Amino acid sequence: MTDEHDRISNLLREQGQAEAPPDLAADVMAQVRREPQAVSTHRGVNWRPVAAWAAVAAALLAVGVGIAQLAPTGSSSSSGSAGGAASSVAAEAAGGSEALPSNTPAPVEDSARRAFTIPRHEAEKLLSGTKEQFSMVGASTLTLDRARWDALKGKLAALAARHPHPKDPVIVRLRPD
Amino acid sequence: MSDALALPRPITARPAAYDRAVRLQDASDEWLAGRAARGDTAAFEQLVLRHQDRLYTLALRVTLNEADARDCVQEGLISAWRSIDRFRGDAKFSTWMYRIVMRKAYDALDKRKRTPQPVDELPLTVVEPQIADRLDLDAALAQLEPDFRAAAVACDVVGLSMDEAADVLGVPAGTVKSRLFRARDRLAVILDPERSS
Repeated sequence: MTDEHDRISNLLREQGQAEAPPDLAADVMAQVRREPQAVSTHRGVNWRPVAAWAAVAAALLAVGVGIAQLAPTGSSSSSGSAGGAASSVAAEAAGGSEALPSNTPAPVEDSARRAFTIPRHEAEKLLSGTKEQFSMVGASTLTLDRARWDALKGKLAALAARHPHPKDPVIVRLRPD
Repeated sequence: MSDALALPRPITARPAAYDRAVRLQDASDEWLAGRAARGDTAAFEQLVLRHQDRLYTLALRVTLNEADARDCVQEGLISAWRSIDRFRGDAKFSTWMYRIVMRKAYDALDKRKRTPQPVDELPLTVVEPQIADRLDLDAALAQLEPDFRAAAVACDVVGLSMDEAADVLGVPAGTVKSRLFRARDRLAVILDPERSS
C-alpha cells in the first residue's frame, strides 16, 4: 500500500505541474499599477487604533467634565445638588466632621456662588477660632451652614478672585439644605 | 584631446536599475513582501513571477478548469496586493498566497456547483488530449471529492508539508493526512483498477 501511495505521489508530482499563462503576470501587474494610490494611502497610517483611542479619550474627558461639575458644588442641576448633599452626609457619617477628604480638589467656583476654591492658609485665617477650623485639617472640602456662609460669602469671593489657581486649595461651600 | 584623457569607466559601475533587479531576484519572499507593503510594485512583481506557476498549478488541479484557475490566481494576487500589509510574516509568504488562491478555488467550485454549465464547458475540456497519462491523471482527480483533491494537490503536486497544507486548507494536520491517504487510495484504484484489486 505504501508503494502504491508513493507511486501515486510521484505521479502527481511529475505530471501535475502546470505553467501559468504567459500573460497572467502582466495582467496582474497592470491591475496592480492601476491602484497604487489606494494601497499607499491605506498603509500610510492605520487610523483604526487611533480612532479607537480618540473615542476612549473623548469619553473619559466627558466623564471627567461631568464629575467636575457635579462633585464639589452640585449647583447646576438637581442631580448635582443631590450629589453634593450625598457627599456632605457621607463626610458627617464618617467622622462627624463637615470636611470631605479628597486628595486633589478641583478649583471650582460655580455660577450660583455656592462654593469657592481658596488657598488653605487663607481659609485657616478666615475661619480662625471657629469650629470649622479644626475640621479643615487634612480635608479638601469644607461645608458651612447658611449663617456662616452668608457672613463669609463676600470674603470668600474676594479670596477666590485673588487666587484663581491656589497651590494648596480648599473648597469652601454652602451646606445643602 | 579630452577623449584621450578620459578615464575608463570603472568595471564595478553598473546601472542602478541592474543592481536593483539583481537585488530583487535574490531577495527573500518576506523582504519583498515588506517592500510591497510599502507600495513597491517592482517587489510585488518579483513575487508574482516567482510564484505564479505553482499558484496556477494549485488552482488548476483543484478547479480542473483553465479559465477558473486563471481567474483564481489573478484575483488572488490582486487580493494579496490589497492586503499585503496584513501579512505578518508568522507563516511563509508562499503559504499565505496559497491560502488565498485555495480559497478562491473553493469559491469557484461552489459557484460552478450553483450554476450548471453546458456540456462543452465541463472541466475535462482543459485536459491536453495528446498526453495520455495526464489525461488519466486529470480525469482521476476529477473523480475525487474537492476536499480530498485539494489535499492531494497541496501535498503531492505543489509539495507542501503537512503543516503547510493544513494552514492552506484551514484544517488540522491530522485531517490533511487522512484526506491525503484516502485521496491516494482512491487515485490508485481509479488509475490502475486491476493492480489495486
